Amino acid sequence: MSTLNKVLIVDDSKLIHQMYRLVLMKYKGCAIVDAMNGLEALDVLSRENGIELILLDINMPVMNGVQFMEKLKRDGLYRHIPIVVISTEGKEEDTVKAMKLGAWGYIVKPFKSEVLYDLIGKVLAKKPSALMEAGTKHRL
Amino acid sequence: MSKISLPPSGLTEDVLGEIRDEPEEIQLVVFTLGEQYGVPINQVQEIIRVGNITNVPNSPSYMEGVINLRGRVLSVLNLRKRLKLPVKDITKASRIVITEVENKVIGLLVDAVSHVIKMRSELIENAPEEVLEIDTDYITGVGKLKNQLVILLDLGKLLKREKLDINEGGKSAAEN
Amino acid sequence: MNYSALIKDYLDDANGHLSAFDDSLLLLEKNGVNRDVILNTLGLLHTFKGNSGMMGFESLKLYLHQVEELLKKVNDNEIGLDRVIDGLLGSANIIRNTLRTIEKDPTINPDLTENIFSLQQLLEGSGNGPDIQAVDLLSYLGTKTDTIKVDFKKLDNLLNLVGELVIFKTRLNQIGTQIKGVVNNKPLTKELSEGFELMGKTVSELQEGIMKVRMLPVGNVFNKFPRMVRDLAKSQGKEIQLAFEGEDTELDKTVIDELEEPLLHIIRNAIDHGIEPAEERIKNGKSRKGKITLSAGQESNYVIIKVKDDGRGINFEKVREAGIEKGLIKPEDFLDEDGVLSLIFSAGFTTREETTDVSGRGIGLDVVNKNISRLNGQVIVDSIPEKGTTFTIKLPLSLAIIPALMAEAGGEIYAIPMSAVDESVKVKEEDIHVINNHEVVRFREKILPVVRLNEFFGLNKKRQKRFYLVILGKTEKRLAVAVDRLRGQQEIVIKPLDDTFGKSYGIAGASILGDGRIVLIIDTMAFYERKEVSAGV
Repeated sequence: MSTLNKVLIVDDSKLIHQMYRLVLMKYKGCAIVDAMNGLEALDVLSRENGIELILLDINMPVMNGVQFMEKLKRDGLYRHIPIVVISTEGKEEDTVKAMKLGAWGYIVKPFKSEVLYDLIGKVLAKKPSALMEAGTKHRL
Repeated sequence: MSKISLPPSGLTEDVLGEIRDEPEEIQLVVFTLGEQYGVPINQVQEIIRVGNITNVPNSPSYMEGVINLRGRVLSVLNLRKRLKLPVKDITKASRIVITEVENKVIGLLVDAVSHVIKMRSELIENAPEEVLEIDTDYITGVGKLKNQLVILLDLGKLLKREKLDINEGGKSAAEN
Repeated sequence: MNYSALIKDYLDDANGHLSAFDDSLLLLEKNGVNRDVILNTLGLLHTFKGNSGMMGFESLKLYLHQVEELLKKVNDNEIGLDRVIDGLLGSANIIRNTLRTIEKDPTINPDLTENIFSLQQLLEGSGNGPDIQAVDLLSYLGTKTDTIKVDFKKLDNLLNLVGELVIFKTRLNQIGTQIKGVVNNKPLTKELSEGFELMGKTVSELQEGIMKVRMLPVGNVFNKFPRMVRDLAKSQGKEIQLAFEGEDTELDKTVIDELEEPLLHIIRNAIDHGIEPAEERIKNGKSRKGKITLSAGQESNYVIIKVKDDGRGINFEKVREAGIEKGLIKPEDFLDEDGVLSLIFSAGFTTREETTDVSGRGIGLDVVNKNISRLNGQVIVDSIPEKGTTFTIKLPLSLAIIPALMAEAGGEIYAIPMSAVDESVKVKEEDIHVINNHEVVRFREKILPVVRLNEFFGLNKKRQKRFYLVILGKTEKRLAVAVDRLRGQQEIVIKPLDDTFGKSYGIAGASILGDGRIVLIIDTMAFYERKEVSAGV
């Protein structure tokens, strides 16, 4: 299993945050930073260093996942941080939108922990090359 | 719009190529300030006639004042002043466009509201380089529709930059 | 958060979903297919399913998935509601029992394979689905609760509405008085008066009721300090006991939120500068342990919060000297004790280097004064040398509705919070004198600086022969604000001004009058700040 040191979780449900904590315990010593919506996530990004992965919910109040991606895209910021969209059935359109805006991958809720580990593994393996291609590959 | 079906998880690059791009269409509320300007309709709550505007002392010049909108006190931005266009008096055609951006509700004072248009996103071009000076980066693009040009405004940026422009209030009061 | 707390959260959540599921099913059974109800139910089932999956209850998750699928089919008219409603009601009981099992022993991961199969059959149009399973009757009750969670914004909204009501009441009363003057019909006007009185009473009760809902015990704030006091005392080698009084006193949540920081600074000051080290206390015949008491109580429409210490008190002479040294006062200025004490609230009074010296007293106290004033409250300090110091914070019971003096200047009406107003007088232009380029007025044997509101706000100047002075503040902090006319006192509802364009200096908020007009509420602190600015030039 690949190593992971710091993850930002963006989701409007506290329970889900706690759930992720359990799921991510698999990555020993991984720090978790919480944000309850896109706006909070922007704030967190502006002050936290070393975030290696963002798990992003789609449906959130204040600023949802797609709006968050639009914001990042517009400001051209944080392209080096992989973002995994946590989607739900019925949110396929938004998921695609978020991917076009630069998300690295997605996973549909509800999922088994193993599926998420698998995806995180794939995303982290992509990281170096994706970093170089960022901004060109996923352009609209 | 056809339903997209996605596998339960995946990497963007594996999935994105397989899904056909739908042409995106956006709806704009178009108003005039000499030129035509547009903002996305989903940022507009309503459009009202200009009634009583209460002046707020010690506020920036482009802050027209506050209005009472059904019991809420809302700030009204004089868009001409904000965009550094020549000032024009309020007329019968003048309107206040009530917008909501990032949970903030703000009124925009404009000369007149012309119409709502649908525009396909590919008809929107980046604003020409010479337009994109530092203080005009709130223009997201220029939409071409038949013979008219519509300048698209990014309200988020337009409103956010304000804070930077303002002096600490105390100064201006002391200078009075 | 540990696993059992997580399980509890999950179960709370699940019971909520289940009870909503029950309600929806009963509604569907009674009224037939309703898309809104079904979509809502699908949403909650989906969340429930997701949560269950996340918690590792894979089997339950799959089961809920099946229920969801079944309901989707009903929604898509692929299957008749009549055919599956019993199955759905049965499924609710299966879920109920499953949750009950988990509640009893969270380590059990219930296996619902059989139930999943039977639902599967129903989905495929065969079989009748689950029989209604027997359920422990008590489990129908779910988890009991006496409290409801309400978004504070909703309460704020309600209070706003009540505020409007108070305003309309005022307006109606004014009209009533006018009508009584014109209409000559005793029985009718009497009835009108009675009607107004009854309405007024109900409005007051409503206002009070809503205020109460927004209240939290002040202990919520107090309880944040024992640890801080312990740590700070320890680091300074002092022994301090922290006592609470009246911590059950309830305060509006907005007040509670705003109270934290001022209290922090005051308590910090009491520890740093008030309470003496144990040896010094013993030498002076005091108990070894110093005592800081936080107390709260209510007096009419105000809340009184006190921070009392039994330390060395404030040395007036030293504060005076420090004041002179920092240029806040001149050596020849005469100041009474109150005047001296108010110096510690001045922004320029302390510098960070002098934290242990008595002149260091006042760190953050300027902030305290500012914050409390912005809440339309007051801070009063009393100190007896060698006996101790008491800071008293006086706040309006509610921050949202305050009494205000309506004053006209430059053709506009402004509201001045009554908490800042001492009195008002009518004056002539000749009463105003100029000393050192500053306008002053002689009032009750004292010279007070004059601030003309229309100049302060850059409004139209229309010098009148006679106008009014509103006297603000106490003792040497007094100041006279010149306005054109006074329009009486009124209860107003404070509405915040949007700060997208920055905060407007001197404006604390806005209020809407009965006729829909907006009045701006004056931030009286600005006058003092300006006085400091101009004095510094």
